[in-house]
Order: sequence, then C-alpha cells, then structure tokens
Amino acid sequence: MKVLVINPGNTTTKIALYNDDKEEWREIVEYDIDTLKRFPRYIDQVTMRFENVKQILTLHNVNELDAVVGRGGLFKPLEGGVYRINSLMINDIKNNNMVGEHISNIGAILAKDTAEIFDVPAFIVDPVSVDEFDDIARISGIPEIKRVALQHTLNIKRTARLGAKKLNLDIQNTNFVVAHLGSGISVCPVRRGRIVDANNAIQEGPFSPERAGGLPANSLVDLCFSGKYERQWIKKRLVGQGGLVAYLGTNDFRKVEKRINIGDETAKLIFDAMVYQIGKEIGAMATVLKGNIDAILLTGGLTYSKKLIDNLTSRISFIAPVLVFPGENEMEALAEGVLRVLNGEEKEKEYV
Amino acid sequence: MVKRKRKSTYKILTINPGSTSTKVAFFRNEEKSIEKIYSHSSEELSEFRKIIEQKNFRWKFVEAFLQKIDEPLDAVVGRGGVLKPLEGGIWRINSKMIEDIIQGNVQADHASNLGPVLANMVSERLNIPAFIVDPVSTDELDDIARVTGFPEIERRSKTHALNVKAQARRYAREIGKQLMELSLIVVHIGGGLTVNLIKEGKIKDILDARVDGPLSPESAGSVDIPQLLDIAFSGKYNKEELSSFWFGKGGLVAFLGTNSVKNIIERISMGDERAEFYTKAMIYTISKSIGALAAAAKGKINAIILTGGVSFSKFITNGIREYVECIAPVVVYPGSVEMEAMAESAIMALRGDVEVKEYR
Repeated sequence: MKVLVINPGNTTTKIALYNDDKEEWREIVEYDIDTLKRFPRYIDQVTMRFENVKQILTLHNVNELDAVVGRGGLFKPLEGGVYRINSLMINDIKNNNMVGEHISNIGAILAKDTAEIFDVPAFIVDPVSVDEFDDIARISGIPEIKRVALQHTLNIKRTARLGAKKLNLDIQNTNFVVAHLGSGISVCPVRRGRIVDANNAIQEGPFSPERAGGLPANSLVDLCFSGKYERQWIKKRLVGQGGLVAYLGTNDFRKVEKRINIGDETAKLIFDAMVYQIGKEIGAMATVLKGNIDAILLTGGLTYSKKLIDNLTSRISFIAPVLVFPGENEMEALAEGVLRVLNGEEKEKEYV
Repeated sequence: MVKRKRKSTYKILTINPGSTSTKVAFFRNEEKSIEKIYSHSSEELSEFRKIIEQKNFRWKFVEAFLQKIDEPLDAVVGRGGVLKPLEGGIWRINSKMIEDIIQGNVQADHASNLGPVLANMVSERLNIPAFIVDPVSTDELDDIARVTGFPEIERRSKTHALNVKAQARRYAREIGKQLMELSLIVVHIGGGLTVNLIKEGKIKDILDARVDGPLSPESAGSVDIPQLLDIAFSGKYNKEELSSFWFGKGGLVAFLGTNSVKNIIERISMGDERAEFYTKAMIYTISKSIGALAAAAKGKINAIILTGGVSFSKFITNGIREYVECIAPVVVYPGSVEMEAMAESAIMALRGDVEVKEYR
C-alpha cells in the first residue's frame, strides 16, 4: 500500500511516501518568512504549497498511490481516529468554521487536491482538536472559560499504541499518562486509548521552551490592567516568546544544557523549574486515573535529552514505570493511521 | 533570649478577625475555657471602605470580652494577616509590624490584618507580650516552585498556614513522629482552598484556588491563560470584576449560585444533578492538585490531610479519597483549629521551646 503524507508546518511542508510502514522518501519544502508574509491568511498559501507538492511528486516519479493523508487542523471537537476528507470538511476550512487559525488547517485541502489527481481517497488522522474529555474535565472555575481539548493528539495517540505494544497489552486494557515534550507540552491521561484530559496544549500546566504555561491568574489580570504592556506583547510572551525563550533567549534545549554544564545557574534553575512543573502536571494527570497506571510514556523532541529524562524520571517514577519514545513522529503516525484503515484494522470515520 | 521562669499554667488570649466575625478566646494552657464569636452584618461593615478602618469597631468586642476575664493574662495572640512574605512560626508584634499594616505595606487588605492590630492594643493596655503565628502571608516556597514561564510573574504563597501547620503537627503527634521527618499534603477546604506540601516543617509548594490551584466554592482556580488574556482585553470587565472570579464570584458559586457547601450538599442529596456535577468537578481539581504536589515531593508522602470546614462533608472527602488514596493514606481533620494553634504556639514561646522571630 502506498500512502502519501503531507504535513504543512509554519515554514515548511513535509512530504513523504510510505510503502506500507516503510518510508520510501521524505522531502521538506522550506519557505522563507518574507514569502509567507505576502499571504494574509494560511488558506491563501494553498496554491503555492500545492504546486510544490506536485513538483515533488514529479521529481520522485510518483504515478500511483493508494491514499493521501494530510495533517489535521483545528477542526470543531472530534473523536480521535481516521477521517475521510469530504466536501463538508473542506468547506469548514474554507469558510473558517474552525476553532482556530493554524497552518495545519490546510493539510486536508492539500491532501484532497493531491488525492484527486490519483483518484484515491484522502484522510486526516487524529487532529489537534480531538476531544475525548470526560465532561468533568471541561470545567474551569469561570463559566465562560471552558477547558478546551487541544493537544498533540497525533503523537500522543501513536505513543499510547506503541506503549501498549511494548507492554504486550491491548490498548483497550491500558491506562497511561502520556507527555508530549516539544516546543509545546501536552500532558494527557489516556484511558483505554482515549485522551480524557489535557493541559490544553500548555495553556495551563508546565511552561515549555516557547510557552508560558499556567500562571497565577490575578497576577496576569494585574499585568493586563497595568497599562504597562500591550496585549500583543503579552500574547507573544505567553505563546512563542515565553518559557525558556523568555528567560534564556533560546528555545534550543541543547544550548540550554550546554549552559548548565558550564555552570550557568540561571539556566539550571529555569531548566529545573520546567522539569518540576512537568512532573507536577504528570502527577496531576495520574490522579485522574486514580493511580491505576500501566506506564508513563514520554515522547517529543525534548526526550532526546538524557538530563531531562533522568531528572523527570526521578520525580515521577513512584507513579508507574517510565517509557521513552523520542521524537515527534507525525509523518509515521499519519501513515500508520491510514494503513490501519486500508488494512481493515480500523474503521474510518465520517466527518459530519 | 532571656529564659523565662516556667509557669505551670499560661493564660492566653487569642483574637481572630474574619471577614464577617471576630472570634476571641481565653485559654488556660492548651485548654480553651471561653470563646465568643461576634458576628458582624454586612450592613455594619459597609460603612468602612478599608478593613483597617474597622479597628475601633472591632475593638469594642475585644474589650467586652476582656471584661469577662478576671485572671491576669500572660500573652495575647492575633491572627497573622496578609503581611509581607514571612517565614512561618511565631513572630513578636512590634511597632514596625503595626506601622506596615496601617500604612498598607501589606499584600492585601484582609480582615486578618486586624489581628496584629487588635492584639497590639491588648498588649499595650495589659503590658503583656503579643504575637502572631504562621500568618496568611507565610511564604516558604522552594525557589524552584516560584518560577513561572513568564519572567514578570512569580509564584508566591499566601495560605492557611495557621491551621495547615497545626493539623500537620497534630498528625505527627498522633503517629508519634516529629513533623520535621514527615512529608505531608494538607488540603484546607473552607472559604478559601489551599493544597499545601509540607516538608521539613515548611510549606514548600502550594496550589491555591485564589491563584492557580483547584476551583473552590468561591474561587476560580487555574484557568486557560490565553482565554483569560482575551477576556481581560475584551472591555467586558473592569479589573475588579475580573479579579472577583478569584475572590468570591468564581468556582461553585458561579455555577450554583451559592458558596455554601452545606446548602450544595443538601441539594445533591435531594437529587440535584447540576450541583452534584460541579461539586465533582471541584473534587476532581482538588485531587489533581494533590497529585501535582505528590510529584513535587517525588511521591514520598506520608499522609494526605483534609481539613477546614468543608471537610465535614463526607461526599467531598470520600470523593477526594477515591482519587488520591493511591498516593498516601488520607486523614480527615474537619474544621479549623486556628484559635488552638495560636494558643499552643504562644505557650511554646513562653516556655522557651521555640524561638520568637523579630519582624523587621
């Protein structure tokens, strides 16, 4: 089975061809920021990016495919799974009937347009907006602020599957806490494969290399009303310029580790504090599962850091064994989802 | 420090000004012999803009109580307020402390700030030492616990230190250990709600419904921060209105119209599903906070103590227990022992068993 994977990121489009679960090739098309600035909305980039997809297909002489899969975006709340891209989905994207603007929103359009060339089905898998929360997890202490299910669904679901496989368990019989640790951080209790809570893709919980995470609410209120800060400035310091970047001027974990190794005490305190907060969030989410946990699964780019893993493991290993699945693995996760459907292991879902 | 001659019986007056009452008690050693709770209606209090202005109004009640006591007092203790960040323990009330309170050099305008002021008035009249114990502004957080992902904002601690530490000492006594050798999570659920991690006798980290912790009967707890930013700049609320979600208007009261847990529990027993759902959501967030602090202590927790007025509710304590008993045994000490804690600490100080700290 040949599956083409298209994953639009902020400044790249990643394209890969899978022959069953083997990656035949992967290409990354890069865009410079000045080029992208010309497009007021993400959706305006579709034509340009689609042209590049076609060029890559020509380059690799691709003339047959079984399916195309695109990275899923910020759709309305959906159950996890593999969705066939239909016209309703495309219309929702084009009419901005989405929960937020994100470059991944155009993944489905690129996949659908490409699939039409080959007359094969197109899918998305486990989009960011998968919502499988327990109702109780939706409540915040302010009625108009709902706790929203946004997380690194694709990698979290894949990691849960890998964890089940490693422990030789049926995923239906597992309870995990899965922590995706990358430039953003998601910590989720995963009960029988379902993501029943999450730190709202870091709008609560630990700070990350680029995001501020949860904050003392009234301090933020004071700051907003102080007149000293622009809304845009605060917003950037919450997402993009917060966390490690705000303290240390870099989101590059390796640089931070180097600074710690040569005795930079600020770097050490901030690193330790981040790990401390990640540990607390994992502890909180373990409680959601009432302590019945088969393993804590750590994944994402930061888990290549031994320092992080060692430090974090010492905080959380009392809960359950800790297993590490490094990297982000979005391309694999997208391909694998579609292959499960093509092989009849899983039913595709209809977007309605 | 001059070692005082040990007496067999110490006589202590304790004063605890709350938002709608003033509690005054007379202790002979650790035994409470008289206690009066003077309630104040919101009409009575409405004429005062700032809490410090209630000083003379509240003094009348303290004075009335003093007239009932015909034995000489050895010390007076006021509830420690929301002063500047201080270590826990027992502090002598001095003129600098009173000055700071009167000049508003404190972290919040809070009824407990009248504690040192009223105690000081007793002290001056009777010429006896005056103390505060484990003030609300007790701040013993680990450095690591102070860091947020936003450099302009630091995590700080304001907590029910008095009751929390007293209940922790009680647990240590009951199991025959020293508090210093235990790690405990103490959850105070009353008007406020704090989840406290106690290690080496200090409150090392805290999750507070008024800041970033669980939702409580009247506070919102942690919320999605970007959404809060949007609301702050929406023009829909002024600062006071928005802040009030953490001081009286958020949490259960926002959903159920009351902050009375007694009332809510009654509604649940009569089959009110909404009341049950939101109360369970509170239980859920409290439990998550306990789990978070357990990880902060690397899981080495000797016990989880549930205390405060709301801990009389079995629905709530059993609900929490179900989530967290995997971490450590859950002990329920309902109610508050603030008056007892103040007297107990004063006696320890008079006996020379603990060092009295000097406020500067």
